Amino acid sequence: MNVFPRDLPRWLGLAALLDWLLPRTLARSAIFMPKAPVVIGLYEAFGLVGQIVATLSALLALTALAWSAWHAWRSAGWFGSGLPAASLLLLSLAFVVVPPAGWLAVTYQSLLLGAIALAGLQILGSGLSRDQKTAGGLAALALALSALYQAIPALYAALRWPGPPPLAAWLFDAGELVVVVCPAALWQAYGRGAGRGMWLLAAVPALVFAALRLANPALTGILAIWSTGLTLYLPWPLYALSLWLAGVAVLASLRRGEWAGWALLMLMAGGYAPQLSTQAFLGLIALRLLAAPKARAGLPASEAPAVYRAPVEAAQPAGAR
Amino acid sequence: MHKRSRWLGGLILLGLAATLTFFRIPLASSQGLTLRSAPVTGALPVSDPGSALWLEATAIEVPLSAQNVTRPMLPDTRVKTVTARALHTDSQLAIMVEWADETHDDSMIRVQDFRDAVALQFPLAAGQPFFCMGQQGGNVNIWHWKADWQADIAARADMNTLYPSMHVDQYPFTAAVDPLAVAPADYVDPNYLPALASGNLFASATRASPVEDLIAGGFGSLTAQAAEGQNVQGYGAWADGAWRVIFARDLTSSEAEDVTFAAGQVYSMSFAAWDGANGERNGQKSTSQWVGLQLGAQTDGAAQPDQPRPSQSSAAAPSDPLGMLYVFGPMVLVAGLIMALAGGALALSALLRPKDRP
Amino acid sequence: MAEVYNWHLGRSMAYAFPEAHPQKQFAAVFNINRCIGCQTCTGACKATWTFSRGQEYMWWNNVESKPYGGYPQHWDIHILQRLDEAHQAAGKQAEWDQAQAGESAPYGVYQGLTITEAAGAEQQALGYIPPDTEWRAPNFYEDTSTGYQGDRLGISTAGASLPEHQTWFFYLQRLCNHCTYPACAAACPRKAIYKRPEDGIVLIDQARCRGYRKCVEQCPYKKSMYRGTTRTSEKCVACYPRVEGSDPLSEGVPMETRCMAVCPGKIRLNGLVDIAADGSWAEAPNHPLYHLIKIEKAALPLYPQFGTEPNIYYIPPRWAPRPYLRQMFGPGVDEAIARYAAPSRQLLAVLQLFRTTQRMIFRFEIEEGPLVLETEVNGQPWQMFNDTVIGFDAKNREVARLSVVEPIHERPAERLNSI
Repeated sequence: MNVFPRDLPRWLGLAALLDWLLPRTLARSAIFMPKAPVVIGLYEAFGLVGQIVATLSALLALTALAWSAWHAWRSAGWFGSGLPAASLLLLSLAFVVVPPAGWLAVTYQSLLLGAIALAGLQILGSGLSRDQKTAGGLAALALALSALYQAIPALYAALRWPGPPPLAAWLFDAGELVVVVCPAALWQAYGRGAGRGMWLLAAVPALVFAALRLANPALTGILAIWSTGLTLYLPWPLYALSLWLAGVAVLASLRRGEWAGWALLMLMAGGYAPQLSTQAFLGLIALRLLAAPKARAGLPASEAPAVYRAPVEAAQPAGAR
Repeated sequence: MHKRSRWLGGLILLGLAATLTFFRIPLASSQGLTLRSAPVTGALPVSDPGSALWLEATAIEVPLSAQNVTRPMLPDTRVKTVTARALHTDSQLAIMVEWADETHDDSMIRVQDFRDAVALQFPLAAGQPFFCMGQQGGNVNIWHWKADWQADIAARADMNTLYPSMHVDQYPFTAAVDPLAVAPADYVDPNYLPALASGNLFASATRASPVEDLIAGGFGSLTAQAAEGQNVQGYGAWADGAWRVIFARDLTSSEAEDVTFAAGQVYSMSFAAWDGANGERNGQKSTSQWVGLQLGAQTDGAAQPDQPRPSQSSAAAPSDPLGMLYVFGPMVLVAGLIMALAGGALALSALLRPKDRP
Repeated sequence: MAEVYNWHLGRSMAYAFPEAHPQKQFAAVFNINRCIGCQTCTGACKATWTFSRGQEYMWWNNVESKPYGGYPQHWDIHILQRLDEAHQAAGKQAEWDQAQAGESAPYGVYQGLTITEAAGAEQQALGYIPPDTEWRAPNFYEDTSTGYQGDRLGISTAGASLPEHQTWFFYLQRLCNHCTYPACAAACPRKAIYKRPEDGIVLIDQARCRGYRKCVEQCPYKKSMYRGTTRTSEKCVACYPRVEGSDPLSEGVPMETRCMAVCPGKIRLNGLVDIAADGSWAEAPNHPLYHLIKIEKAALPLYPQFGTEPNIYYIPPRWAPRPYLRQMFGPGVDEAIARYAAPSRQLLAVLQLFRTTQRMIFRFEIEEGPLVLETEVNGQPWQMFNDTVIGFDAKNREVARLSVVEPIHERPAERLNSI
């Protein structure tokens, strides 16, 4: 069987993209708009559509995570990456009812960290090209740093240490640096060979960002924090360049019909140090897709890259697949 | 897959999403930076920043940055970070905010004097409105502690506080015998203190709390709640180049303009701080993004006020049975859930993929 | 920021809010030439509005001796200096192009920056907060003239020769200008300052004020004042109960403010002018203020380059150096002084109306009288007629009737020394 059902990454990628751009970016820009009745009405409509899209995106993310857990279990048995993924899924659902506090929160954060680490190891241990491993590894590193940044305060709270936890700002900034560097590797792995048209098309969002930044740095900063979680502490042209390279990689990858394109979109939509569990899951799912970037829709299971076996091969019982 | 079944699947998904949205059933849980309030029993140390009980709570350090969205703004505000702790009982919540400030500015008498201040902000509706003053349709409840109000509680400052050598023959329309001792309360006709006459809390003759309870829904909309709705208590003290300010309020409030709290729930809150010596006031301030606020449940080992502060090593390994249960309980739960999932997945796979099996 | 049309500047300028104009505008003309610096206006205002706790230092109306005096000290020099620095930074000159003068630009077009345009990205207007020490001595430098160039005996023969005195000072009477584009209202982050639609009076809502002092900082005329007792800012209220006609004395018609009504020197004329929807003054040639300001152009705004379109107008002192006056009242100074020195029949008649009644005069009529004097003014022939001017209040009732030549009653010789 396949890592994911053939349409799921595409649907999830689209929903996540809309979730990212509608309720979390466009609707929030309402604060900067004149409050004419038409504008308010428009934004209310945006808000409603955005809520539905957000729910859809969450639903699909949970589905994808469940699928991925099942698939991992099918391919690697009890001790594969299916275990943290499944526990994460169930815990996150439980948190809707039971508040995430104390050791429960630590458990959740550790599971997330573990799942990210496992996914990263899978990428590194897979049969992918070196560029692809670098790109996937960097993505996993950024996610891991952000998860660590969020896990440490939870641990302090559970231990009832007075705190405040050290290194928080350092971890956050280091993660952001990796996020900014990552698109270069992603482009190296997936974007090379992009045509001139793709370069031009991908320049559009980067140019919009640059123009906005030049016209109104404050507004751009606020929207960037809301929309991506990035604080823009590095020189802004780096972010514009990253956005451009990421855009090229996405377009080139989607043109080839690879999953990597959707994975990159999910990474962007999930954002850095996300506030919501389902946004964190987007990152996790993206890592799974990056481990199997070329998996095409409808390929028989036997033809799908056997990437999941690699890192845990030694640990799994023979014939578990 | 057939095109029709794909459409059908999409519609079902969309319908499910719309239904979940309509009934406000969340699928995601919050996991951002969270201030976790420690449950305690007995009286909260609402006017004792040095109380050992505060060490029960885990502090978080919240980065602040200069407000730079709307005019007026000040690019180089001085408060770069605040440290926050929270404690709660069955009925009350107390939050202590600490920050470094070399100057102690608690006077607002002279035209060039500005106060040090700190504020907490809570969204009133679900979700997170704009983190500076909320937005239209997204009101926020703001608790604003003011250094001059704190000083006023001891003795209300007035002109002769700053100008001890001043002389006045008479202030008309006052009942006081000594004109220099005239206070707002001495005015027979409050219209000569128009701010007092119009109900402005800044001009109040007496102060019950150094914290003002406000509501806002966007820039320029900040409005104090009515005098009878002022229900946030507080205390602030400056020592050795740092302010320590405590906010306290009942967990529940009957007012629609007030945020209410329940144990276990995750709320959003944000911080703002002003350094008066730097001319910081209004939008010229340092603000934080939204952070979470979560009140731990009372059952998870509430500390007693008289209990000595546990050392870090002993806190790391809870020795009481309840604490052990708390550590291992979730793990057992997780293991159970995984078993359930595995079973479900196995069953599902058997149903779905019988033909693939060799 | 929005674009608004400022007719003082003859052009559009940046301002925090889009244009919205009152039906009427509180306005006044002060004849600086006649002021004796007695401070009766100042005392009347103090006794009416600012005698309470926390208001000790407040003088909503003040009279300062220029060029050195100022309340708060050197307020205008401070703001001019900041404006100049902004011009230097922007590589601009604060010049006027008088060639473009016309119907909607009576003084030409201002090419420089206003305080709202020089504000930068972080503020609404250029400004500063004068510390308490600068508010303390409201009449410092009273009657202090510029340097005196005496002869051996210490006497200057040319010191007081026109057109410009070598040794000079003059009184500047100041209160809130109730500006068309108030910088205080733009500055207030709480929108606690508003301009009343019925009369254009600018007020601070004492219920909403939170004592941020942004208005104190950004009012270029420094007429918002902070009150430590209430921790809010207060300002001139234009005696609005009198302007509304709700004062018992006023019999339901708008009445001049206290500072205007008490003036012994008869230098002030206060009124309400009709404002058209586009913010221009509705044509009213028989309104005394319209006549003085728009037709004769004898009265000029104070520091029009600040860009707030102030509504107190001044007949400039004809003895002061013109460059100083041009800086203070704009490029219309020379024409205004020329018109005032040799007034037309109408201007001379309207000038009689100052301080003849407490009620605001909304319309005047002139009954022509005989020629009484023929002389030369500044080398030009000039004739004076003993015309009679009649003023009417808001209800069109006659409230003032004066002739240009003051009626003289001569005592009979046998009673010359009797009491």
